[in-house]
Amino acid sequence: MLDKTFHLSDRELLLAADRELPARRQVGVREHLAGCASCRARMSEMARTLGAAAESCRGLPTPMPPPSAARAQLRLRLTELSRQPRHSRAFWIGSWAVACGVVLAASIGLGALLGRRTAHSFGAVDHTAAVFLLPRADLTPGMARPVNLTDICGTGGRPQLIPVSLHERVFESYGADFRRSAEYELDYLITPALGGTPDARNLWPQPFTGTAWNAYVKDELELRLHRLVCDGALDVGTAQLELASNWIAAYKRHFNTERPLRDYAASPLTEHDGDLLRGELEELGLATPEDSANGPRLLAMVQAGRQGTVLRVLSLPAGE
Amino acid sequence: MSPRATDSSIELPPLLALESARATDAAGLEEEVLDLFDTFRDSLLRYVCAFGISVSDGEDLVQEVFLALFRHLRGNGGRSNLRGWLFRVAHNLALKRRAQRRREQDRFHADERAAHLVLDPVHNPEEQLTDREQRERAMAVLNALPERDRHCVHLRGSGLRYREIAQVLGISLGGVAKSLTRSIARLQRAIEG
Repeated sequence: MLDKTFHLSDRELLLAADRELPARRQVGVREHLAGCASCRARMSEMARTLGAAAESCRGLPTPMPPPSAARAQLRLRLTELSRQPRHSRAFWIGSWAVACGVVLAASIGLGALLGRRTAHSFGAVDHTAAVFLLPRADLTPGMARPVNLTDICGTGGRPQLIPVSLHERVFESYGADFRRSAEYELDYLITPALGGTPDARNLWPQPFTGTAWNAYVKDELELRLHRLVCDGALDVGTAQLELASNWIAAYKRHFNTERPLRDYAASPLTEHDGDLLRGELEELGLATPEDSANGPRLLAMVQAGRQGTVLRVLSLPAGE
Repeated sequence: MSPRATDSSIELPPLLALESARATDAAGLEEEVLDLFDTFRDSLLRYVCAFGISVSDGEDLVQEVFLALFRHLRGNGGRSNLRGWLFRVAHNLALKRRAQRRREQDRFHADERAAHLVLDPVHNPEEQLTDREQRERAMAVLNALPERDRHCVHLRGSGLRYREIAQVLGISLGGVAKSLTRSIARLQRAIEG
């Protein structure tokens, strides 16, 4: 039995609240509290203070990004991990390398979903797509506006839309069939996340499929470069130049590989993942693509939408 | 999910009934990890961001935590307190990531642009003190606390029991109580004063 003339210490009150005191002491404290209004008041006062502090923590970070993309990405990576032998060191290294590697994930199963199973092994190139692997230097030298780190490393811009007329013009200049536009991403050579502008001289039709070096792989490089720039590890100008000169070479350099890091046969994303991603797209004010069951593409769109890079043609009904 | 302290008593965070869930196959394990992701992603992300890590870096880091969890469970690792486990791994990865970022920034240009980037808005208590809002004052005081004290408050706010906090931070139970007592006193002085 505790003496009522003495009060419990704050420390003891805290521990008692979590039932972490030795059993006998716990009983004594409970009895004391029953008869001591002052200690009870102190106990609830401390709880209030801690609660308020915790409440302040709950508001951060602002804004809290929705979990859909991260969840989908996690699922892809878990599936990948399941397929690998245990304790593979390569995965660890790989997974750090692709830290934000949405896009790799995005290459999963695209071929299968589009009904064009990847007959191409890594490195092999489809001739119809080959011309667009890299943009033509005369048509698409790359254009960027002057930017500083505050502009590009903040919360991310608003999604931009490219007028259909511009989209058509770019296809025309490349001699690409606009009716097959869904197979291509009208991609920025220099990503807007690094200052690239929506200018015909900075756009080209980049294939989603038919080659291992597809639009998703380039997105992956863009994320990597953006990260490096915002970490202060790479100059913006250098990053722009790397994208504009030869993005495939840059990819090989930055990921220390001769081939894109991943190629999957099927997407393990479930309907639930798809719903979450579509929900986020809606929040971003972006239309879902026609093949909205395509998880990797949804994921790539969400990422692009968050980054404020163009949601390209996908967000505009084709042929409108 | 997180416990709210009420006026009358300090509520205990519920212990997770995770011990019973034992997925054996890889697919079941994936679902289990994703369920835990749904439950803890937000609070883990908040926790690692409190280390001054950017949100996008934080998102990567949280992914790593759950990949590590998958490996842990697949290797028949213990399930006795997965909540504590998650926060402990997140804590360690966050420390590592922050140190790594600082090294990178030091190595490359330490000019004012880079300095601007590492400045977490959360870590600027003086400015925030000018705001009258009580909540912001609490926040400012919180940010002015020694890092370990701040982590204690944050982890408690994330629903961890003192015992779990002690494990995450690698300190004793008494250490947690002492830290929180100190923080409460400072917070109260700031709010009332």
